[in-house]
Amino acid sequence: MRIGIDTGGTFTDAVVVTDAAEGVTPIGLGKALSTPGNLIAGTLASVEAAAADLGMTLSEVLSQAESLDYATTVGLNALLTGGGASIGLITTEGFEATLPVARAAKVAGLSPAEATEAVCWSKPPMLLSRRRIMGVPERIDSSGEAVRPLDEAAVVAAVESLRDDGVTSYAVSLLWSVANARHEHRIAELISRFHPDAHVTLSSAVPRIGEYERTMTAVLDAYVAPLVAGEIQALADALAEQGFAGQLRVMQSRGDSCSVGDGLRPVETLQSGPVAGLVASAKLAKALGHSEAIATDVGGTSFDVGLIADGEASVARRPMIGRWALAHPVVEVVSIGTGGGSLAWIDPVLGSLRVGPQSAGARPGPACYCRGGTLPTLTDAAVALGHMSEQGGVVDLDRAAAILAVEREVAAPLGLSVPDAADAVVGVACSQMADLIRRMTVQRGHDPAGFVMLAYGGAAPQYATRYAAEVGVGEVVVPAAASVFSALGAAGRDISVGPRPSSPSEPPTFERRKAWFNRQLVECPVYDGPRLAPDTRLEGPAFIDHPSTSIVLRPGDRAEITAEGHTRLFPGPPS
Amino acid sequence: MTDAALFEVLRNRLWAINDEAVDAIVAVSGSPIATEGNDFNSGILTATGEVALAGPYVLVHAAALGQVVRYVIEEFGGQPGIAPGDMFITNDTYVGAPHQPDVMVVAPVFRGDRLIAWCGSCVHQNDVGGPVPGSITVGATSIFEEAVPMAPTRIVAGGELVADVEQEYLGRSRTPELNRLDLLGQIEANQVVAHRLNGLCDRYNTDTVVAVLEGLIDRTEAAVRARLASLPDGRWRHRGLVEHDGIDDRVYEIGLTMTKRGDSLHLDFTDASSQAPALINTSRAITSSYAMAAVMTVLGYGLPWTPAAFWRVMEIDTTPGTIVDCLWPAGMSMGVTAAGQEVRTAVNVCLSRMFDASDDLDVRNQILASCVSGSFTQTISGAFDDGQDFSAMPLDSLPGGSGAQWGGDGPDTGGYLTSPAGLCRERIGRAPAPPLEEPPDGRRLSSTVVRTDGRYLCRCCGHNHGPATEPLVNLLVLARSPIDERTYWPSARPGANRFELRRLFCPACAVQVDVQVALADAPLLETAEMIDL
Repeated sequence: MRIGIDTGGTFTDAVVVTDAAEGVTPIGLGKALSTPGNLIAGTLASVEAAAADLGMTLSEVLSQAESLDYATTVGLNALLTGGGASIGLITTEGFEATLPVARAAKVAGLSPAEATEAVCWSKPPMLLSRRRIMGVPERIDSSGEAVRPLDEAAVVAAVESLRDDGVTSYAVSLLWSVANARHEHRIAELISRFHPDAHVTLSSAVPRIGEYERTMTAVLDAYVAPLVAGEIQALADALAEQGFAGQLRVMQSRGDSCSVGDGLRPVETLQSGPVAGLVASAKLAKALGHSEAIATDVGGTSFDVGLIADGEASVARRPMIGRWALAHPVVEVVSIGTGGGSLAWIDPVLGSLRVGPQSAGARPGPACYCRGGTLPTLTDAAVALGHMSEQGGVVDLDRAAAILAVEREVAAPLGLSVPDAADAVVGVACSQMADLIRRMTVQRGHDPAGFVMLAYGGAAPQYATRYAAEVGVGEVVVPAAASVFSALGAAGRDISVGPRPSSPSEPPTFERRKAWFNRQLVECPVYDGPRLAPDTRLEGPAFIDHPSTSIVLRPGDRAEITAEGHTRLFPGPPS
Repeated sequence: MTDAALFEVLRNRLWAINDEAVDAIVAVSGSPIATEGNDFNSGILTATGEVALAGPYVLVHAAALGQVVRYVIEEFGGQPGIAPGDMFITNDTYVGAPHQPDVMVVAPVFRGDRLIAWCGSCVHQNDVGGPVPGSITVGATSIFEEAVPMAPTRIVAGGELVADVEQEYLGRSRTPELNRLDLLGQIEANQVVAHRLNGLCDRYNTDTVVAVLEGLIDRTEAAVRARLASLPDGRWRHRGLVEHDGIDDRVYEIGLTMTKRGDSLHLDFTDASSQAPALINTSRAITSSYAMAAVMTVLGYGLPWTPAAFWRVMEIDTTPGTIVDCLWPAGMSMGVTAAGQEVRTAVNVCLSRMFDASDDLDVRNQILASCVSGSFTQTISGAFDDGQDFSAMPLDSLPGGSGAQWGGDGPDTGGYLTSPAGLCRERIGRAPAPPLEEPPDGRRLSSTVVRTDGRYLCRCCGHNHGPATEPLVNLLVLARSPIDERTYWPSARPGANRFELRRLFCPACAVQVDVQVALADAPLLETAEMIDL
């Protein structure tokens, strides 16, 4: 039995994958609210919910589990909120400015709007003040030869001064330590002698040429390491208390998992959430017989794309996190600010209809959420068109509010009908998503026609056939358990899991809903997704509703339910 | 799809196509200047050679593309003619290449027989020939002692690389293999753009695609003009200084008088020193490119960076034979970090002074002191173990300090500013004094001075500086100090004593009103002047 956990900002998802002898593997799914600053509570609650889903108790599942794989945002939260350790950097004398100069990258990681506003330009935040960057005499040349010995007295003086200044975690990054790490190791020894309880990160752990990226990575690691290590240790203790005796592993940015205590580098866990989704995609694609796949995730504020080529998730050419450059491999997930909560607005300069990057967020949210939002979002446009069910899910949707928002902010200024305006909003959003997919494929020499596309996350199944048709992808797969897909990826298992054990195989039952497609109001069947039997074939216009997502079939789109409970979509022509 | 949505969809597609061209250059060339240094740019232009969009890399390259394309249309439109599948290569600084190592390859985009657009790119090369590796010749007495530029030449005809032209171009260089990779990358990028634009025409029809390219410029131009109209009218001045021409340690001056009236911007560079023999000059074309890049960066905050829209609102005057409008056979192999940067600084400073005259706090928030101006660069050259020559420019010396902002320091890289502009008061951290009761009919000249009733008054203490018929600078207290007090490398630097720092204060409350760097014997510059319509 294996457990996969994905801690997000709002929810912690858990998946328990059981060991079935043959055929379909029963899985338990659990969701719990994340508790900021308390990893343990959310994790245990989510596993308990997943256990209950299988008719088991928390300690039954934990004592039987051979592993628990974990995607965490603890480090990322520390980084984004400035809650990391008090750090010092020891570097080669004369190279103290490598970090502050930052290769002169004053617009790296800025939004397009900031990048075209000179007063917004700035260097990536350093995470430490310059007086905590200490140069020590030493020099290794590019062939690894020590051309200047390490001045140990200077190292001791630097450590004592940093220690007295309140530093609790050290980054050590010397020039050409990639060729010979002897001096770095000696500095680590001296730190452990003169500041025994401090954390130390050596840049030579990532032997990559490029001293700025290597130094920045060491500094990031030193910054998040004490916190991440502490939280994970606390989690390990809490799990052990409940009878867990398996391996606790954390998903790393490069797409594999690392056991706690087995050289886990906290900086490499920073992007583990999105990476877990991509790893799940790679496994699902493989299980379905595809070695080339495009993974797409439409969330509330962003659209994320990752690429699987030759069965492996692609890594970034210039890995970054936020505004910081990284030296270690990172599975590439690119984003644009187009999601369900993205605002639709008329550009006052260009006169064009724009969607995003500003977002209504969770509060006030789309107008149809009735939480005080009055500006139209992509979700409002979909609701106005009748593409989303008004009931169920997390909140009930107010279609009248959506129509009013679209009418006032888009339809009236452009002199359009509400359905035409709403369709234009969805069209612009989908074309932006398609542009991002083209950047990841066509621009790198891949033909999207040879790829299968995966659509997961709450909103992707609503728009997937439209953006897939735009780039010429022939097949889209909406995975079973799409809403806890990242946790499934963390579970680290070939994903051939099937429909929930409680799902009966019944003929499709459906109601009908009126919705706009191609400027016409048509009556469409609405299928209850979890009750659809394998091999069911459906044609658009239609909707397949799941508890946490809804699949839109445009006229011309076709769908097929697989034996494993996934939905295969075959997009019709572009809208 | 509706017009507003279609415009947005096509605008995004055009940006994605230009990005694809950039990716093609990086992927094919593999040269560190392109892949690491980002010393290149790529753009899409209208059929008449106006730059509708260009990457965020080297903005001067973007402006240069338009000048090169328009030159090709004018000079070669008749003979040899411009046909589908043609591409022109040039590094001619008199036409628009920023300096000889910047090689530009531009191509017409045809839809059948109809010319619908142009595209092109500029990539800095390691070496394009001439007496020294790296092609930047310190001590040259004319362009004949630098790399002699290549006028726009048809290097691709009917989709085929023209072998004799290719040899003529590559044969000049010490690094022909690297230059060839860049050339192939630039050709590939142009082919990508042509192919994708045709794909867009297939789907959305040609007139629509052409209309979006032109609409981008027209709509942005209207917004730039509206912004200019909302800013105070006036006249602002700056004097840029360039030391050493590679032969003599003499100082060249670049005076700018910028006049803003209504929705137009006049940049008068006619008051400049005579041209240098070589190295540090800019041609009129390059001067225009730097001026546009500065206008777009400083004035264009929050607006789409559509180069042609900014180009259309500015008018530039220069005097032929000066350092900013040099005439054949003056050289300019490193004018990009000499006269070019001083032109950029001058425009930057004058626009910021104009912002300081605005009553709108949001506008004053955009004030940006000059960033590092002219700087040195170095070229490393030699031979690999196998005897193959190499030359490379590490670009390490370019990142100097960025200009201070209204509310704080600019990004700091440890360099020094050669032109502190008028805003050091914020930089040294003294809080701006709250203005006294503003006279109701007063017109703001800057943060510290207001004009009312024909007099200049101090905005901090209300002191009457005197009649507005006098240049303001003559009414203030002047403090002069040697420049080396303000640099990290004091008097050891030869020639530093030729310059002085001039700070001007209110005689009553001592608030700092202006700062200038000038030659010690030069008259005080009237940096801000109101004009009456």
